[in-house]
Amino acid sequence: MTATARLLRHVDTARKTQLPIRIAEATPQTLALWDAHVQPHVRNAREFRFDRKWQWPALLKFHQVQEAIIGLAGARPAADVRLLQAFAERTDGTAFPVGQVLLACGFPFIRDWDAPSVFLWYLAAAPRQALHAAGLAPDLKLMRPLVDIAVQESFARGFEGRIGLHAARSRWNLAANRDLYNRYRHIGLAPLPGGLRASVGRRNDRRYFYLDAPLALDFARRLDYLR
Amino acid sequence: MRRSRWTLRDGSITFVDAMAAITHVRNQHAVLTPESGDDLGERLAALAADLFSADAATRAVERAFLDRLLRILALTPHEVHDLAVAGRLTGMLPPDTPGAAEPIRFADLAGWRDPK
Repeated sequence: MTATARLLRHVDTARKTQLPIRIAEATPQTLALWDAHVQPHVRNAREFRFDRKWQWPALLKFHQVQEAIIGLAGARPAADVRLLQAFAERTDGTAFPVGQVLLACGFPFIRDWDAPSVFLWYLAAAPRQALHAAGLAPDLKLMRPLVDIAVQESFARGFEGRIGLHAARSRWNLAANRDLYNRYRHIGLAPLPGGLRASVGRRNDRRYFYLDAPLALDFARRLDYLR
Repeated sequence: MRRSRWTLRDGSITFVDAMAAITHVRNQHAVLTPESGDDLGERLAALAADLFSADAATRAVERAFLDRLLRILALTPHEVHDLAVAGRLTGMLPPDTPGAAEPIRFADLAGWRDPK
């Protein structure tokens, strides 16, 4: 059974209300919005953030070039690297980026290297402080919707919903590592079993997650009420 | 030895550097190049021109980026991700040229994969 890609149109808040969103590909202008209105809150957040020092435009460009060169070298087909953003509407009608993901589309699936998938390299949600400053509900529940972008992109490209990701790991904040791991498990991602290699030249540190076709269908169905 | 446009632009970015990085990546993945005798240097130069010339703020930024790129090409994407999370990638990438954060109307956003 295959699924048709249908991106989310709403996200939940912790208070069980919903907020309309729109998914769009990042442009220099929209990335500048993130840098101006979200990243400062990420940098200054009191809580630990894995994305504190991420430079999204540079990450995008770097991965695009790296994939292109890997493709040219013949190591494997180059993945198509895309940066997609989720926007909410402010009261003045302008768009505000509430989350974004950097995807490698066509990356080898971590459970079956011969099958293409969407690898979710980077994921970030705007912190509460940024949402509050923008006049938006600060309690948006964004992790599932952001992962869903990768799932829908996988459907759209004929990859049957297959995705992979690695839960970022801090060398010193073990509580943050545990929390992130548990959050990915909680939303329905399957951990890559120990003993399987995650990728060429890469040790499986047991922080890789995936959705295969059946799991992706189930994951997507749970969010259908928001499409 | 063939010379790419990179060599002409900056002595620190040479065809040899590029080929060394590519060879490393190729060996890492243990796969042969698709076509023997293929002029990877020229294709890389064209690729770099496509990717950078249109939006690089200055040639210096472009060179700096490529210079750092060659240094970290030996890393797998997974290792790049680890460096980013650890906050150590920033120093290897050139600083961003800030874009103009002009407001955009929500209604004007072109939805990804929306029917045209």
